Amino acid sequence: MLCNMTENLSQLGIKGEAARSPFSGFIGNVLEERRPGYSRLSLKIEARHLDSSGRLHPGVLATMMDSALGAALRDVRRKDEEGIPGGTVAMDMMVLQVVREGEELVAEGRLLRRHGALAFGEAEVKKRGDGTLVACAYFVFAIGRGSPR
Amino acid sequence: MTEKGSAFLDLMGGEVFRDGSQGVKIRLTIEPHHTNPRGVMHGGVVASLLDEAAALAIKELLGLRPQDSGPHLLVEMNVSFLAAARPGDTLEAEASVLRMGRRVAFAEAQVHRGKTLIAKGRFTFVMQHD
Repeated sequence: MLCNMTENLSQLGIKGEAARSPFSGFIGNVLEERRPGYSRLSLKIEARHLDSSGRLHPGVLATMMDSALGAALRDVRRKDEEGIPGGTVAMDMMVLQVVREGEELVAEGRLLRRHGALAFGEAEVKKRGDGTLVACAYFVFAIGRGSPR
Repeated sequence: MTEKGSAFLDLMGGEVFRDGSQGVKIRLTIEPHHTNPRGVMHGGVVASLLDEAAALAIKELLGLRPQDSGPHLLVEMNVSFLAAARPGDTLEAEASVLRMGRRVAFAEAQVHRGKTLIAKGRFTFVMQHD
């Protein structure tokens, strides 16, 4: 489960979120913290992130949470699973708050349980500053092979 | 004939089009910047396509254009990711409205690569009428 050790990202050799996850970096996500089973990233909302009504596009929230959980799961894979294709299998997302241009959001992803080839996790997005909950989601990821460890 | 979608769809490189069938569709060719750390399409890309398609289906039913602001506000999204997509693949998304009430609307959307179903989503929107 969660580990209290916080790793220094520069020591991990991370040179921007795009180097880790191209689409996450493409929309502007910044990875702030990652340790086994947990990650946190942030995004400043710009005009390019909006829908036709001038509000934040829900796809941005889905991308933030999917990326946060994906980063949290990176160190959960075993070494013999590194080359195995994987990704998101299912997502349930609720949106509780409208977000507009200029606001900054923080997404956190947490591993709930690994079972065989699947990992179950949760994620949430809050506004930087007042901590207003914007969205939350549950995810199922395919991350490897083998029986539960 | 292509039409303008949201700013975020533009950022992704997606285009809204009509192919003669009922409703509007979205097309996106996957490029390297659409991928996740494992080199396949990021889950956020397909979730964004599904949501945009569902929103377009609601606007179509209301007689609005794709670029118009609508009364719908997403409150819940459920997505099943059924198959992977890789750079070079061209995806198409389309959606239908299951029920349009005064306060709540329900829609479903799917993304295909050719005849292969890539993802399916169900959506709940709250309708905000002035």
